[in-house]
Amino acid sequence: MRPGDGPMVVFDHVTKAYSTEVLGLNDISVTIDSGEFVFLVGPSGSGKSTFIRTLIKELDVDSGRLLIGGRDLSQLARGRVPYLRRSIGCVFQDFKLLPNRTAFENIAYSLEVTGESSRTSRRKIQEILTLVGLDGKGDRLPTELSGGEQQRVSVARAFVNHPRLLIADEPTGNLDPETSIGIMQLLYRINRTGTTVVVATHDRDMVDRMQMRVIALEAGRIVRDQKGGAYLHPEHLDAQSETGPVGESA
Amino acid sequence: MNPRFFLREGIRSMRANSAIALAATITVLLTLSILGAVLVSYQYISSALDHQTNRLDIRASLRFDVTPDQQAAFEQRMKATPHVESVKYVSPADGLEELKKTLKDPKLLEGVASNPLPPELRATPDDANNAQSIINALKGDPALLVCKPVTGVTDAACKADTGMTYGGESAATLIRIRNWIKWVGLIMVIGLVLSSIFLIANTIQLSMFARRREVEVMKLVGATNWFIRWPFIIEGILCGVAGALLAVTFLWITKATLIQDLAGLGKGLTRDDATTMSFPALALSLIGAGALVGALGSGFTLRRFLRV
Repeated sequence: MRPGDGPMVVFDHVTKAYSTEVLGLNDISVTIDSGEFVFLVGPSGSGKSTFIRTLIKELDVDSGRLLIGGRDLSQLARGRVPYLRRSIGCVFQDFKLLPNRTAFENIAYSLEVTGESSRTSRRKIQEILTLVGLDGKGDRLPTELSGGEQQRVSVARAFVNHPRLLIADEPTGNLDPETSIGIMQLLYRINRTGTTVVVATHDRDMVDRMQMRVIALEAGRIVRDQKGGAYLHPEHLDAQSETGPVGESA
Repeated sequence: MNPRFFLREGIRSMRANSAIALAATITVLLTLSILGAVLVSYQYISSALDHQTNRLDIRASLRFDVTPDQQAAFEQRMKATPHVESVKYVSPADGLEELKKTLKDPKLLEGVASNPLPPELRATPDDANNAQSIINALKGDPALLVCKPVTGVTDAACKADTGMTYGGESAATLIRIRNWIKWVGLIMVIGLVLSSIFLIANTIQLSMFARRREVEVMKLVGATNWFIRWPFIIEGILCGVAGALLAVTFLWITKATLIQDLAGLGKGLTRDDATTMSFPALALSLIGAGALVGALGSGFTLRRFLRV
C-alpha cells in the first residue's frame, strides 16, 4: 500500500474498558492514512498505550471496529495474529533487545520468524544496519552499545521486514535530547519510504519541532486532532510562556 | 521453519539454564538406568524360568521289587498319559552317578555300602502346568514305590505320597522373585518416570521464565505459537536423550564389568540358554523413552503456561 492508498488505521467508535470505572479508550473514532506520520500525545494514563496495544492486538477492543489496512481486527482469528504483527513494526522505550544476542542477531530474530533464508537475511540486515547508522557495529552486544544505538537496533529490527505500519511507544523516553533527534530523524526517513508511522510520546520539544499531525488523548478520549500541530493546544501556549516551559514528562 | 534454528535455540537455552537442565538429565539417567536394569533382570529370570520349568520332569520311583512286567506296563501307561512328551528310565546306578554330580562333595557317598536309590521312570510334561494332571492320572499304580505308614502312627505326609515328585516347587521360588521384580520394578519405574516428567516440566518452566523477555519479543515480531514452542520442546527432548545416553553408558559399563565377572564367578549359576533383549535394542528403547519423557515434560508445561 502506497501513501495515499487509503486509510491504514481506522478506529470506529472503539471502546476498551479495563473495569467498569477504568476506560482505556472511550468511544474513539479516528483515521490514519497510509504514509502519514502521527504523534500520539497525552498525559500518563490517557490511553496512549491502550491505543498502541489494541493496534497489535495485544488487547481486544470491547466495542466498535478497529481496521488495519482495511482488515477488521475483531474478525481476525487468534492464529492469524502473528501474521498481523509481521506487518507492523514495534519500537519501545525500553528497546526490548535480547541481552545475550548481538545487534545483528537481534535484528535477525524477526527475519527467522518469517522463515527468511539466511543469505537474504544477511543482506537485509547489512542494509538496515547502514540505514540506521550502525555500520560495523553488528557484532556488539546491547550492553556494548549506547542507549541511542540500542534504540537504533530496535528500530532496525522493527523495520527490517519493511512493514506498512511502524508503531513507536515513547521511543525517546530513555534518551537525551541530542540522541532523540537522531531517532526521530530515522523514524522520519522510514516514513518517507511510505511506511505509516505512529509515535506515542511525551517529548514536547520533538513534537513541536516536527510539525506533524498530533492526536491528543485524555482519559481515553481524543481531545485534539491537528495537522502540523504542537504538543500543547494553542490555547495553553500563552499560559505556558508566562510560567516558562514546563514540558510534561513521564 | 528451520530445524537447525530450533536446535540451536534449544541448545542455547539449555546452556543458559545448565544447572536445572543437569538436574533433569540426572533424574532421567536414574529413571532409565533402573528401567533398563529391571527390564533386563525381568527378562533374564523369565527366560531362565521358562527353560527350567520346561526341563523339569516328573520322577516316579519304582518299587525295589518291581517285576519287569509291572515296570513295562507302567511305562506304557505313562507314555499313553495325555501331556506326557517323553519317558526315560533311570537305573539305580545311573541315579547314583547323577546324585554324585550334583553333590558338592562326592565323598559324602563313599560311606554308603549299597545303592539306596530305587529305579526311576521320568516323564517330561509338555507344559509345567500339566504336571499335576499327569501325577493324578498315574496315581496308585502297583509299580510305584509309596511309603507305608507304620501301624498306629498317623503320618499325613506319608498318606499323601504318590510315589511321584515334581520339581515345580523349586520353580515357585523363581516365579516369586520374578513377580517381585515385576511389581516393585513397575512401581519404581512409574514413580521415577513421573518424577522425570515433573522435573523436565519444571526445567522448561524455569527456562521459560528465564526467557520470558525473549518470548515477549518473539510474539512482538510475529512468531507463531509453534515457532515459540519448538525450542522449548527440543530443550526437553535434549534433556531426556542426554539422560538416556548416560543411562545406556552406565548399563553398558555395568554389563561389561559386573555381569561378566559374576558369570565367571559362578559357572552354572548363569544359564547360557537364558536370554534377554539385545543391548542395541535396549539402548534404542531407552533413548526413545528418554525423548518421550522429555517431550511430555515440556509439552505439559507449554500447555499450562505458554499462552500466545
